[in-house]
Amino acid sequence: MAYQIDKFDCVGCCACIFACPFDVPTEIKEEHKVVIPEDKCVGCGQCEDICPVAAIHPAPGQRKIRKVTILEENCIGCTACARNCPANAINGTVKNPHVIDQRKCIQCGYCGTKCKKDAIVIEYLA
Amino acid sequence: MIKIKTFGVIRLGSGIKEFDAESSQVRTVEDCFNALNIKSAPDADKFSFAEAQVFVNHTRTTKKNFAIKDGDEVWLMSPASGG
Amino acid sequence: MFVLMSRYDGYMGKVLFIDLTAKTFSEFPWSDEDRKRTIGGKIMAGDILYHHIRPGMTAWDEDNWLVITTGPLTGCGVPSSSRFNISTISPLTGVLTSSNSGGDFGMMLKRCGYDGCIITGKAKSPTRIHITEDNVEFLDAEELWGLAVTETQEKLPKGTANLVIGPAGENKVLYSAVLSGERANGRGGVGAVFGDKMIKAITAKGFKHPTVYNKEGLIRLSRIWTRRMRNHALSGRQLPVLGTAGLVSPMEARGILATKNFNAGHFEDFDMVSGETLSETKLTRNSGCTSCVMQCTRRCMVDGKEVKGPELEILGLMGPNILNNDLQNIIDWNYWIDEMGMDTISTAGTIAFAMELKEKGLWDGGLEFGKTDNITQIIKDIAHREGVGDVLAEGSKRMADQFGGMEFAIQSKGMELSAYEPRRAVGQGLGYATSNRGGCHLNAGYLVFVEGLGLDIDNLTPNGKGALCVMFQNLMEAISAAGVCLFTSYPVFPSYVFDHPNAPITKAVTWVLPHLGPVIKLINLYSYVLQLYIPLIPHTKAIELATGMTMKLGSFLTAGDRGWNTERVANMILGQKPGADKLPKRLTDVPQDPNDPRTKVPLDTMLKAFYANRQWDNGAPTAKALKRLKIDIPSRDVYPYA
Repeated sequence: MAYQIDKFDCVGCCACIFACPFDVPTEIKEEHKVVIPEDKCVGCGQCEDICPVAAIHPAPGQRKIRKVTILEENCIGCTACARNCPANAINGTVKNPHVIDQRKCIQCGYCGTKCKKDAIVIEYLA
Repeated sequence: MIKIKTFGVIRLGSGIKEFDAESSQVRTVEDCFNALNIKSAPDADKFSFAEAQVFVNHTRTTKKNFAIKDGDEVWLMSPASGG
Repeated sequence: MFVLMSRYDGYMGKVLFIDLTAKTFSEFPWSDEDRKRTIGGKIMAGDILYHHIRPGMTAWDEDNWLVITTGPLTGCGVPSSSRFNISTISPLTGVLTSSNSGGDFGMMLKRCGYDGCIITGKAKSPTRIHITEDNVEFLDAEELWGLAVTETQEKLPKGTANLVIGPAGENKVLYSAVLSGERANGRGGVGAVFGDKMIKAITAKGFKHPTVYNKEGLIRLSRIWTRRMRNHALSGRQLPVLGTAGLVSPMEARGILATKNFNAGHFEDFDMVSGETLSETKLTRNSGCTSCVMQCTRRCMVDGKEVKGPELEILGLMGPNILNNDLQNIIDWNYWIDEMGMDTISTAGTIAFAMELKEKGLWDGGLEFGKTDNITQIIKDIAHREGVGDVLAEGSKRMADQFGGMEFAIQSKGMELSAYEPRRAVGQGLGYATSNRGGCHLNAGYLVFVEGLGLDIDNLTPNGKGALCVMFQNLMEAISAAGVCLFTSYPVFPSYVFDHPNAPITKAVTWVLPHLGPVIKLINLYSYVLQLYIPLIPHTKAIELATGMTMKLGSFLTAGDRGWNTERVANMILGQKPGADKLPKRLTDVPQDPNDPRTKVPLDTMLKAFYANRQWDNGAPTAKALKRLKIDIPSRDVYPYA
């Protein structure tokens, strides 16, 4: 699950570094280029959106997320998702079901990796 | 002898900063580019009058057939801007 | 704390207001109506300051506001969109200055949820303001005080974007700068206002993202725009390959390379300090602002360290203008001026003036044309106000008031001019004289672009220059306010004319432009009727796609015009008098070529047309202009010119 930077197209503008909520892309200073370490990439696609030269693409198998919601009946209010959400988009109090604010959600799916109760529902674009 | 100096992307692309040419080889401004392209490495960028701003003895000319005479200094420049 | 949000995307919807004296923060009311009217950036800041300032207010007043603003496109993924602006009352000029930069601070401010940040008051001891999404902290910065810029930045928390001052700002050098990373908000002395308020640094860290109204549409436009910029002779070839440094040779060719304190426009050794020589012998690699597709910054070595390299301005002003032909000197001085936190242009211009003062026997500060071995020390002395540095820290105009030589103090409204010698590019001279913030070549409208650098229109005629100047000024004002780099405007002029500088169509365009005065005047005065989109100016569509607001060319140009006028009225309320649009006598009265009387700036002639295009009376916007632009007319007791 990752995004990749086309080495030829990359101009080293570092917009992806700036946009990444997880501090993943790394600048190779000598080459004036940026790379995305595949094992660290969460797959949120914020970098693809901000790249002005269209150099960033989803790796094969990477699926874009359309919407993320919380299944109320499964949520135990452990707050793990809210604490880890890079967009501060999840609201709720301890031991009560949490809710995703769709206006703030950046559809990165990171909350899904933190939930131990299958309460995060991810709808993919394709 | 004619002195030809290059600037801008022409200089960096051709790899040649300046050179002398015989007035028999270089009769017009356009000839200067032919001379430059012959002199530069085979894989260097090649340039033509059409894309350059050319100065002969510090005066701009826009005519490719502008006559060059012995002792002239020709500058081959590219448009530039900044801030 | 009540929350005002925006119905527009792109903007974050809030403006932060910080009271440094009381150590509190709140929200500054800013409506969607305000956003539509001012777009953002310097127009927004000018509007905010206009409604705040009062007659006689100075840079050192406790309630002189620092207004830091971004644009709607800042951080939205369009090419070269990291720009932000700091406006305040300048200690150098006494009027408003607006200082723009491409550092990361603006984008990070948006990630904290703010489109702008206003700071009032003063701290009692060195302070670091730390901004996050939910909080503003006022932290002790005693251990940072006194440190140079890079040393300061290295001590700041990781993952933050910063704005810092160096020793120059701490010592209130009148042209000290603020740095965000390695990019400088250089001009007008904003660093001194930071220092006066005892703000050593502002840091910010946040994770919000600007939402955009039409994501697919904006990405599509962004990619077309980027492709056009990368295929353009200027933004796609000259700027990446040579940087702004690539201008030294063309300026020499046209006699507009300021030499020996603007005594001449040619320098025999120009090629020793040219952009070509820089690229061939000193450049280690390119660099640039975040999100920029041009990457025009140079990087060079100083004392074994790779640092930011020189731009055109310092190459000209600390090369030919002080009769120095050693490129490494300039690279070193550029590094030190950045480390001390000063404006390279005003520092260099003041030094050149001091050299001529000594030559003319008016003042001996130890500085001489061609003498380069003491300049690094002088730069540090200025920053610390030590010895003659204390005099130089005041800038060339105050030095001329003290020692004489006003006719060759190369400044306008108190701010030093950049390296373009305007006696062979008279429209640029008009721009320098009329620029709101003082001797700025960009606020000027950058007419030199068509007067010999990009295009080659008649550089000595006053015809058409007034109208062209106004149009360029308005357009560039709006582009800056949107949050993108001014160099994104180059593709406004189709690449064809730069790829074919000798073609008949190019020659026709260059011939006709000075004659288009009357037509351009109509555009200037009635721009609001142009409710259309032209692909050459993608900025308007980008704003629409990012925010969801309607923004056509006419509204865009009008917003720029409004910004220009608002700042001008504010400046006059602050005390600027009519007739302030001047240049030093050397440029208006002394021909650059003694055999050609046309080679001086026919300022009075061009000002007539300029003022007609702006509906100004001797530099003061009239009631007609203010009504046309829907600017609140101030009361007669503060502004008697309407």
